[in-house]
Amino acid sequence: MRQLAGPLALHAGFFSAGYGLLATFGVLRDATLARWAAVGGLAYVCGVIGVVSVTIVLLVAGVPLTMEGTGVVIAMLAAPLVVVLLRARPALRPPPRPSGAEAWIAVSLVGAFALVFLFGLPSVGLRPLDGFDAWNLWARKANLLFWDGELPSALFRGEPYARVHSDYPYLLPTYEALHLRSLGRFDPRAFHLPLWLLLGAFVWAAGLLASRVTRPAVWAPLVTGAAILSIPGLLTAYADVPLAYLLALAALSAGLWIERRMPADLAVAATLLAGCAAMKNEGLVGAAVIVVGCWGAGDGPPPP
Amino acid sequence: MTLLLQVIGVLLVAAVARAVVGSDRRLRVESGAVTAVAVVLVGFGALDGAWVTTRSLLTERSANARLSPSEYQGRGGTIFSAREDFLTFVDSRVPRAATVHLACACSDERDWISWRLSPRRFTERPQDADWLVFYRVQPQDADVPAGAYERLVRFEPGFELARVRR
Repeated sequence: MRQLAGPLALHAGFFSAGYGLLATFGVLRDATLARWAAVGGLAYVCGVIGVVSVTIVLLVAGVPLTMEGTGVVIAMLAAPLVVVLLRARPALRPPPRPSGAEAWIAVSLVGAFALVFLFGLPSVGLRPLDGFDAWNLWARKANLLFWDGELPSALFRGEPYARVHSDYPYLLPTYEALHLRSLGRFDPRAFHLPLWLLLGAFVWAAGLLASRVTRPAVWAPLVTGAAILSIPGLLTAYADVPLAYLLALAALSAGLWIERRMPADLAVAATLLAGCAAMKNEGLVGAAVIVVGCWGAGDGPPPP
Repeated sequence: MTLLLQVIGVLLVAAVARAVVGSDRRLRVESGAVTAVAVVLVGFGALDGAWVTTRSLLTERSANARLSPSEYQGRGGTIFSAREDFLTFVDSRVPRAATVHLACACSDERDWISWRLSPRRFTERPQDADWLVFYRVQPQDADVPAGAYERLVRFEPGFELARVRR
């Protein structure tokens, strides 16, 4: 029971925290229920980045990793959601029906991806962890966080850990450690499931962002296709593919801000860029490139 | 570093493409064509990928469901031909909170062993550890003084475990 209820509660918490952040950014202003559903993927990704980043700051300050503490962090980040819901309940209007061939192509492709995602869900939960970097760099840190609840930085100064890249950031290990804690046991096969959830959230979020700048016949094959082609890389349990998801979403949000100058897009982009920098050292380079691009493009007058 | 080079490469290609294409109108036509090609390539690649991926996920599920704990825990060590039987033996005898010193005539395999026996903390010097693990090395050939440990528990010659004398 715990093995199902624990992860369900944790990942629902990431959704709530993400919705709270998006409400703060103004993404959910006057949103209908359909719009709330549409931003779910973006809410999950932002929620993971928000909760894990605050957790890492607390770990650095010496506060141990506990599920109770994580619950408090989630509640704090999700608080604006309550304010938004109390102020105006989302209108229960029926979602727009797909019309035209392009919309049906998008619905079919997203539906096909959803099937792959659902079929994969029970399979990835049984997959052994065998990639060298997966266990040596990422899962090792998650393991120590799971058991000890504190950052193992001092331990990694020793010679036996010379090749574990202690300089790599902790977003992925902390995310994995929280998932393991929610399971209530350490299982080396459990590392793939949170990454698989990021895959689903990526398609959900990228579809939302890309649908604002291009036609369904373009975004649906590109987003679902890129996601399908990324699966073999994702199943290595390295941080590279999750980083690529965050960079893609950050670039899309930043592009939307450059084009439309809506503060909400900039706030979402900033959150995603923080996630890139906290995922992997190379993510900082990618985030810096996007920031420099925004800086250059943001100098000009806003578009008509 | 690789990512940085890739990003610089993409920016260079974009700059060259912009210089070659020239006018805005032509740029729109060209970028539309590039998008169409990308959609077709990714779409076809993904169609094939979706089928292959789904099939392999389903096949793997039934195979992985049959793995014993020692098989799935030791999977990553197969590239080193790690002795999972010995590591399971150590795992069952050394407390999780203990510190361990590994005496081993190996290099990359050390990383696997310290992961496989996590969260036990590995120490640089034998005297800082609670337990000594002799792996592919005879205790008398290891760089550990014989008086440093108590009774040796032999799994098989070259694979032994001992508690550090206090």
